[in-house]
Amino acid sequence: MPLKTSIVTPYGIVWEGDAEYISFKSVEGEIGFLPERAPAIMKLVVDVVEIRAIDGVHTFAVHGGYILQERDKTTIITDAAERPEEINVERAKQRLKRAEELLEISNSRRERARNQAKLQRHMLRIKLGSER
Amino acid sequence: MSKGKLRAIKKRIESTNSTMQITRAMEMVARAKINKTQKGLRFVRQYEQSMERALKRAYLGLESRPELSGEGDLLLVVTADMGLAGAFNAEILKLAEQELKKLNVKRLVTVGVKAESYFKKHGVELSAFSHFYDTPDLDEAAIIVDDIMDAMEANNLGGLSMVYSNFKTPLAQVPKVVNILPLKPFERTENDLYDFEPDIELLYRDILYSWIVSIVLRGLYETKVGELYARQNAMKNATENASNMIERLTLVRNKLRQSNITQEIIEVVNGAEALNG
Repeated sequence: MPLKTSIVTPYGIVWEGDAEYISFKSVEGEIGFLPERAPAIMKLVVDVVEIRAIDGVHTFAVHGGYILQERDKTTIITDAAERPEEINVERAKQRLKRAEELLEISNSRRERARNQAKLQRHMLRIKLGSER
Repeated sequence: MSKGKLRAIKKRIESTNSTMQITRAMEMVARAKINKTQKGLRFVRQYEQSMERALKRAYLGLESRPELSGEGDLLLVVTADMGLAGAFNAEILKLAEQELKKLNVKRLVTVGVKAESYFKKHGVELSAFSHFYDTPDLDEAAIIVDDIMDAMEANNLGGLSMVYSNFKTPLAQVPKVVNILPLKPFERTENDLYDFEPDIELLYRDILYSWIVSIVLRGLYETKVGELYARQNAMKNATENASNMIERLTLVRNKLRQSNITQEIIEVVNGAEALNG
């Protein structure tokens, strides 16, 4: 029985379907889920998530968040998930520069963390968008 | 005779007419925004529900229940940045005032101009986010939550509540209070054992933070949709009232004009009669 998977973001469900294999990077390293995986919650880093489904492999740039494996379904809960073809590399490059500038002038710990996360997202966008 | 009065009524009709044009335009602006925002609300609700599920699993995986630290509460009040929406803001503020009396509020965080100006002189320290967004998104919710967390740490507070407007139906926006912290214990519904990465204590803290961001985002969104509907309704009523008023004034104007004409005819006839002797 395949993994009933959905990618949930505040801006909508990005993908929903049956997955045969999900590979991603948690905070402790690269890992993959196969059907009938034991329940788990893992924190994701800002990186690529690959979902192998019947209709092919789907790749997403996932902006952190969590993967929640329950008995009957798998949910990736994240701030944002983008397909490579949706990524505008030029814009990401511009924003990366801006994020670097912002990081330098951030003064509180939380502000720095936020800008650091933004920086990582743009780097991931550029990486995944350029591969295409 | 009463040319002056006639002119005054004409002026009033004109000014009511231009007011009506403004209220009608505002109604249409609100209606145009509603569609987009309401669709967004559905997704934000889904996101918050998923996050809560993750939080529940993590909470049940904890070996010891997280102990409560700190006394006193922080109250987050979410209103709109603009009035012209009937009693929408006033109702939220009324509920916030009640909560303020009930809870041990040591610190306030306000979102929206209306909440800021209402609570500015309340004597409780507050940070205000006014004109902070048009349509809220995750970044803005995270900035607000970061501010809340810093304030709670600095003042050693243990409680967090949010007053916002819960969007039920287009005609009913109900102000609501939600107690976010301390967390209500979750009931265990099944005995599945979960794997956690990283360690459960660390993971729990992160998920708790993400969940708070998601619930605040939801509060911002619910309030926004409610505000738009409230404004649409208020402006629709205002447009109707203006149109009724124009109708009434036009009637008065016509009667007045008619009586003026009658008066003038009588004067002319009387004058002619007098000349004929």
